Amino acid sequence: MSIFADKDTKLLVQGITGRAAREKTPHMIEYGTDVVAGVTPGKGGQEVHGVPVYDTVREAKKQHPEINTSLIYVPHFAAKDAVLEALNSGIQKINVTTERIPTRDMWELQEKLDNHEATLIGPTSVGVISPGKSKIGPIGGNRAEDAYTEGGIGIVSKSGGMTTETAQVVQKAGFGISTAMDIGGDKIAGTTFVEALKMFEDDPQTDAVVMFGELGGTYENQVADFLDSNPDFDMPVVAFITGKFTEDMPSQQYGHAGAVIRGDKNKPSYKEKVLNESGVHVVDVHHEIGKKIAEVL
Amino acid sequence: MRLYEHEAKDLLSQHGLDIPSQNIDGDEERIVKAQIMANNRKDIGAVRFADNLEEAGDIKQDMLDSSFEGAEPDEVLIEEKIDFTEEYYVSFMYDTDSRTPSMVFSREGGSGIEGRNAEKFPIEENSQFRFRQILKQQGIEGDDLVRLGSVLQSLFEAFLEEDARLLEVNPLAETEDGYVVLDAMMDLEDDASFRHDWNFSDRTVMKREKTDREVRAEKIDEDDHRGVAGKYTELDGDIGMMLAGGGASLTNMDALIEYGGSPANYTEYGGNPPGEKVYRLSKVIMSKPGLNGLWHVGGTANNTDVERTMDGFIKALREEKPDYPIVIRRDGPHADEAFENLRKVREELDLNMKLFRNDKPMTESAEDLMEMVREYKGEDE
Repeated sequence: MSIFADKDTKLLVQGITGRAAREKTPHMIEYGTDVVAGVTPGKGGQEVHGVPVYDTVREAKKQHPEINTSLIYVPHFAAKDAVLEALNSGIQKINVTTERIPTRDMWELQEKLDNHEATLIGPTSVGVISPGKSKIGPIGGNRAEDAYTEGGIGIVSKSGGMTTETAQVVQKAGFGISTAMDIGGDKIAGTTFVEALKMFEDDPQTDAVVMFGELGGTYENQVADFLDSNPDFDMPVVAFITGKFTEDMPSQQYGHAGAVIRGDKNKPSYKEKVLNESGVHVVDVHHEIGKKIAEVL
Repeated sequence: MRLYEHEAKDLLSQHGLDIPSQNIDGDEERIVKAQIMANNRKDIGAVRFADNLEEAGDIKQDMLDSSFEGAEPDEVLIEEKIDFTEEYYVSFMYDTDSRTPSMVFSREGGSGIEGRNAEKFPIEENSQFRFRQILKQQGIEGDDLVRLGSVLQSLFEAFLEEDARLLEVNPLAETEDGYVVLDAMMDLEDDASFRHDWNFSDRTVMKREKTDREVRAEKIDEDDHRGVAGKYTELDGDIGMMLAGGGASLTNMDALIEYGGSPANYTEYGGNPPGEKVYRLSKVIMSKPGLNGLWHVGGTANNTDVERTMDGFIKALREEKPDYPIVIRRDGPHADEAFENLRKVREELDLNMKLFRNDKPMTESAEDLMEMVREYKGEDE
């Protein structure tokens, strides 16, 4: 098992003819991901590294009914439309690499995702990898097998680069990865830390979860609330929260709204505190994650 | 993009909200407001009252010649003074708790709101009933419930349609003729600029003036848009920080401090910048006087060519020939070549420099550097 990405992943790449998607698609194929088709409106009939390109998702899905996951690689002004197109064709797993999607678009998508019972990971996500099975997106680059060995640790991270760095620290401590996912650091995330934890909880391969959080937002704090109200959740969670130094830097006051909505809750030190109180194993320095897993497992 | 009050009011007025008039008869009382980004404008003399046109003109000129806690206004807004019966506080922001916009509302708006209770309410959908629900809960009834509810929804629509990250109206004044926006703060989301014709002048919202090094660094990205190597914030410490990657750079700042170091700067480069940009950023970092160490650290790059970027750093090393300790920890495409070049320059210049690839955890190399720094400082004393 594993979550979101596995050996049954049949991947569609929306925006496959763009520069970045062209460059990253062969890495996914070499890793063993079944990249079934691509879509770029107006470029139907072309091929990218042997993958057929269609004008619409509907057409791709008709030719390849096995498609079950879409990777969104389109520019930010077209991203909302691309997600809606995937949902319209019944695709329920969507990973969005696109950065800088307006917050309003993500909010508007939220309801549609619920209606379609779909899972969106991202935006601003470098992808999802289930070692030995498949990888979606650029995660791990063209040498994903170096950092990601198969095992029992789930990783959920707000930072793309640090997802792989975290996997390396876990590996150095003698453990492997079930699934590692970058949920992105956007204000409105398709998948939050809590939602990721629930997925890992249902995965028999995963024994413990490492979360990499950062300053801003309250998704980390929700984990504390979740654990407090779910005493049956018995999987160890190790957390590292980055950005503590920013608390000592001058910051711009964000009106009274900022004080009411964010308060101190978006500060790394506050997040560490509530996570600690809820039984999460918080480490102060990133590489201590490895040692901590060995301790708690 | 943070808007000045008059820009925010213009946008709100386009969405049908009432704002004070700027066409006022000669002897009417006026309010004169310097257009600066500050929350406490009344306290610092940036909001004043005038009895007539002439006095307003004098105050305006005075404000244009003044500096308010470092902010020098380019514009001064003169409006009619509005008589009101109630002041409300209203704001909208996206909220990660609910993954929706939230409204913060208080019946006791106006200055000093910071000290009073204001509640937040998630707005799940753009419908008038939601605002009536909230107002009723706040004890507002009758005609006010309907009229204020409709004004709140108009504000919310302005927040959505203008792609704002923040819209704050304080106060929203209740007058005999309806509800008037007396002051407004708005922050528009730059990422949505593709669907707007925004045409606002450049502005910076800094707590302090930029240092020369910060200005020099900023130029690096302005001159060449490939990759990013122009973010540089000067700090008080003595360890130069050459940091690659967003999440990694934050993590490494925290790690250095954890091991007793004090960063001389924050920076972040990435997105595969050309060597020349990395060279210029390295020069800026090494130009800070009094450095006792230098840490060039990043994760295992996916995209960034480590040889090319490291070449820029090496060129700066050759020119600066630092005698303080240096630790490098990096990996990624063409790292073999990059580390070969680093070993060469270390030998040539006899540098006190340790080199690590990704078999060394990133944050662990902070410990190595701090050990070398303590030794270096000890030898100097």
